[in-house]
Amino acid sequence: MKNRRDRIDIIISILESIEEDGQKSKPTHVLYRANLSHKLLKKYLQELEEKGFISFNEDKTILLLEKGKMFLSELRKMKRFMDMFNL
Amino acid sequence: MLQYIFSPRWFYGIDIVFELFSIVVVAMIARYGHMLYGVTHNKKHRYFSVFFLLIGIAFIFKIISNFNIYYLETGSINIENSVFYFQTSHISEILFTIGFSIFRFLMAMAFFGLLFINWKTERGMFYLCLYFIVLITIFSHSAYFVFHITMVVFMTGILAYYLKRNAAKTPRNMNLLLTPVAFFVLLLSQMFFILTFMNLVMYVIGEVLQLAGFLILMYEYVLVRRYEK
Repeated sequence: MKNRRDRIDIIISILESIEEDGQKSKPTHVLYRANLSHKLLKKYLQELEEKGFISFNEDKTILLLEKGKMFLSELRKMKRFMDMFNL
Repeated sequence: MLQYIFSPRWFYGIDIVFELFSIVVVAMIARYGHMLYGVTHNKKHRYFSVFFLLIGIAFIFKIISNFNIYYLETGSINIENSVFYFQTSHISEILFTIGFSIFRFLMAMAFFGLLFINWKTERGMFYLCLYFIVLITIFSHSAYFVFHITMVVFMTGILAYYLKRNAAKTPRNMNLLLTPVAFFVLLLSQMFFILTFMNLVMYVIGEVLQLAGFLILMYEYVLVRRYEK
C-alpha cells in the first residue's frame, strides 16, 4: 500500500523537477532531484511520454508539455485531496 | 398496513431536497476518488470512491421510500409525538420496506467501509461485521434506533482515526480539520435521529446537521478543486 501511495509523489517530483528547470531538464537532474534509481526513472519517463505529458528532445533533454503542466496541477490537487481525507 | 414515520408534515419533501444535495456532494467526492485511483492505482482510493458512491445510492433508496410514504399515503393518525400512516396499497408497503432496508444496509456498509479502509482491520473482521450489518438492517426495521446507534459507532471510529492522524501532523493545517469536523457533525446528526422518538423536531435537527456535514465535505472538495500551488 505504501509503495502505491508513493507513486503520485514520484510523478509530482519528476514533473516538478522538469518545471523548475524551465520546462526543460536533463535526465540526470531529474534523477537526483526526484531521488530515483535509473531503472525506476526510465519506467516513469516512458509512461509520462506515452501519455503525452513530456517529450524528449534530440539532445536527450526532457521537455514538459502543456498537457504535462495541466497534469501536474491536477496531481497537486489530488495530493491536497489525499491530505484532507487522510488517504 | 401501519407505517412509522419520523418527519413532521411541514418537513415533507424538504428532507428529500437535502438528500438530493448530499447525493451530489458524495457523487463528486466519489468521482474524484476514482480519478485519484486512476493515477495512484491504490486500492484504498478505489474503495474510498466506492463507499462514497454507496452513500449516494443509499440516499436514492431513502428518497424513493420517503417519496412513496409522503405522497402515496391515504390516511394518518397522531398519537402523542408519533404519526402513524395507513396505506392501502400493498405495492407501497413492499416498496417502503425494501427501499428503506436497502438504504440502511448501503449506508451502514458505506460508513463501515470507510472505517475499515482507515483502520485496516483484518479481512475476517470485515466479514463478521458484514454479517452484523445484515442483522442490523433486519432488526432496525422494527427498532429504527438500532441502525442509528450502529452509525454512531462507525462514525466515532472514523472520527477517532482522523483525529489520531491529524494529531500526529505538524505543523497543523486548519483545513485538515475539516474532515473530522464533517464526520463529527454527521455523528451528531445520527444522535438526533436516535432521539426522534422524543419529538419529531429531532428528525429535522438531524436532517439539518446531516446537510451541514455534507456541506462541509463539499467545501473541502471546492477547496481542493481551487487549489493552486
